[in-house]
Amino acid sequence: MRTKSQSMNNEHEFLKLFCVTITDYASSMLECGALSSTIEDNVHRISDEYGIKTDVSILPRRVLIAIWTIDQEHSYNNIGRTIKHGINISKVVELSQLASEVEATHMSISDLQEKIRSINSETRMNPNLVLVLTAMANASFCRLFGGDAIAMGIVFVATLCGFLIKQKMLKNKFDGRLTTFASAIIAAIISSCGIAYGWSETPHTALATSVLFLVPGIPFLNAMGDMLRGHHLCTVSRIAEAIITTACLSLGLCLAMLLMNIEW
Amino acid sequence: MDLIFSTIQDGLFAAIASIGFGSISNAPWKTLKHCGWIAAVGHATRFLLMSLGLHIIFAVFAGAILIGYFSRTVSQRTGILFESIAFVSLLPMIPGMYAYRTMQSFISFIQSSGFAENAASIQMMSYNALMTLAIILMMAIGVMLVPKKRSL
Repeated sequence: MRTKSQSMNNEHEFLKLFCVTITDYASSMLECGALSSTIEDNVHRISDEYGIKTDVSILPRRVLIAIWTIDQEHSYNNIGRTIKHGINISKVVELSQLASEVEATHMSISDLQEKIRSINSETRMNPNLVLVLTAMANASFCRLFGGDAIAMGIVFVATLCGFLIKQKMLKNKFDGRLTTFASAIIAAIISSCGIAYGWSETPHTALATSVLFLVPGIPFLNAMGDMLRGHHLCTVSRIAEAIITTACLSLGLCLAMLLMNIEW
Repeated sequence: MDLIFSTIQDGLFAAIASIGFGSISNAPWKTLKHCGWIAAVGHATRFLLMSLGLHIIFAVFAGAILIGYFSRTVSQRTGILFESIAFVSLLPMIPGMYAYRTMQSFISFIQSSGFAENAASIQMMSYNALMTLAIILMMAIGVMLVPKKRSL
């Protein structure tokens, strides 16, 4: 027969395991660029399923987790940190669906841990496919800004080269800001051939849109989403990162124009 | 007729842009296939309203509301996270040019000499920065305005 102290030990083990798991879950969501309110909602959904009260505080690079038993007898705290950074919508979607799965199937903590680990180890989309899709997207962007077919072709090639540089530099663990700067220079220099050789009737549109694939759209939107839901600390952090990225791509474009002796 | 054709063309290119830029953020295919048509609807609405003389900020707001509505509907039918559909669909409407011009005006402010040049650069920088923030804010508000349907 189990003694009272053995039951208490089991309860503490369960709480500690839950605390570690929910911290992993929250920091995984923060790493891949989920909104702070989404992280909070999903953490509460999972905690309610296990009969535990959780308070989560979201900081730019940390999550602070405090868990309580329903009777408020025991509590544990933990701090999670984000390690890899980079928007990964697939992971956000899967982690969010995992919360729904926990509600529907009442899975054990160890199964939940396993699923989090498996989601975190998934690979991204084929990089060559992403390269071609990005080039097509930027060429379409050129069209949206009034570029002609030749300008679209120039932007397609410039984006291929610029994005390839970005992929290679990120793979070799170069700093994200330096990567953006370098990609912008390469894309802008290649797209300036429209002006240099007179190949298009809208060469300036080609030049201006050639670097737009580097604009941090999702971070800007995430920042506004956080602001509308009252997470102002994360708003400021996300806006700052987005502004820095935009500054790097602008500097790259300006340097390219200087090197190619182009006046705007 | 030209306007209708241009609007459809605008929507088509916005769909391609949304799918392409969504792939950079590793959006899954089940999300991207919806983002394409939703982005097309939103961006085409923005284009149409701007062609009819509406200011870009209000046109973007209207487009974002439509994107928010369709994203919410798809999210509730398929179980895909709402923000992942809505934000990827909004990507073609991100004011990249205004953001770039803000930085370009800042660089020209540093390089410029004389009060008139400085004043012109500051004016350009302020205008472009405020436009960038206003457009992104209106996009976010428009999208978030659509409430979640609560089941009774």
